[in-house]
Amino acid sequence: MKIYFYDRHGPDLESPTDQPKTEALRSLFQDIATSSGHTTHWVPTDRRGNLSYPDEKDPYLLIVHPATGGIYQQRMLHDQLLAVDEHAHLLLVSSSPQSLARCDHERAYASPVSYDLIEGQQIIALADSIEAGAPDWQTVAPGGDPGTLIAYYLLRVTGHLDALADVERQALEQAALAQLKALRPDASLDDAGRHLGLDAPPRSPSPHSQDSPT
Amino acid sequence: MILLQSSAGCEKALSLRAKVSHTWLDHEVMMVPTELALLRWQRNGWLGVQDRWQALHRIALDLADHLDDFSAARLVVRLPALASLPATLRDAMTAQLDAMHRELMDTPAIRASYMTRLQALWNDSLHFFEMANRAYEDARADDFIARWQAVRDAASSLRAMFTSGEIPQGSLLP
Repeated sequence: MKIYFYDRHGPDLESPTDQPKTEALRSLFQDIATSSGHTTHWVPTDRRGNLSYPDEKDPYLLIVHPATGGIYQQRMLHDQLLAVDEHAHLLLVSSSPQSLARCDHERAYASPVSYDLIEGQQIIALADSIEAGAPDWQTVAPGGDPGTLIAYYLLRVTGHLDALADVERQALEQAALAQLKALRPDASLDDAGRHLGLDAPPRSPSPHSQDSPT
Repeated sequence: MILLQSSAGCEKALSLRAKVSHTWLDHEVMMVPTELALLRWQRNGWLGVQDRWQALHRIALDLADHLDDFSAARLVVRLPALASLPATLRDAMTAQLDAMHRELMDTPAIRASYMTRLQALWNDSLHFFEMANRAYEDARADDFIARWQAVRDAASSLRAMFTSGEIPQGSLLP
């Protein structure tokens, strides 16, 4: 499967940079290129840094280290992320929590992750799982996507947990509990819903919302 | 409500949501104060914008058809942990979760409200572009400002459905 990289400092591996995070991404790119069956590509950009997204017909993994500095960059990021087609599985990487939060806002279903958490083997495992049709984002964003916990919750809330064999149910409970502990160390499965943020009452429509555009 | 990432079953709806709420309503309308709108008119800066808005309007209409995507039932086929369950069990879960979703989110009513507000915005937009696409006339500046303000009011009304959570930001879990 194809893995595309975008970095705000460009793909030129020989160009000097004082950005250690950029170096980390370049290193990641090379690790994957040399140690997996996946093909790696840099997303081309024009002279202003605008991305030209690949026109892929099959799922692909897009790893973006976004430019998020000034207003222009923010607007560009906004346009860039929304322009990604539906075949892209987008992984946003940044060392800045603010950048990650902004990315999450712009492209809600992206999976932002800190550089510090990424290793080449995790990316390869993620690409493998996407290729297999079931993306496992836990490999790169532990605790960021509690899919097993959600599955456990859905089984429980629909009353089907007991339909599982004991051994299956116990395995699921253990995995769900591990994900819950990653979110809330002191939580128990009995109130999984509350710790998934489900205790908040539905928000009522308000014409005077305080949300502001960014 | 929780926003899922990899396991979300509503990527399409979220993408449409972001384009309507953020690209159109925020960037194209709410971030353009009256003074800037007027300045654009003086500089013929509105020419071509209507085409872009027409595309955004189509996206907004598309979103109305994807409001059911926020049901947790869409997750059943997406969560790897449920993949090994018998099909009959997953079908039963899907049906139950869809029923729960209907209790949680009155999609027909929300869609109706959304379409009413969207139509109002579009009507006001067309009324605005009738003037904005013509050359600037100093004598009609007040009329222009009133038309732009009507667009902003309509956009604000529509935007409230996003900021309030009526149109969710992710899969809704019961």
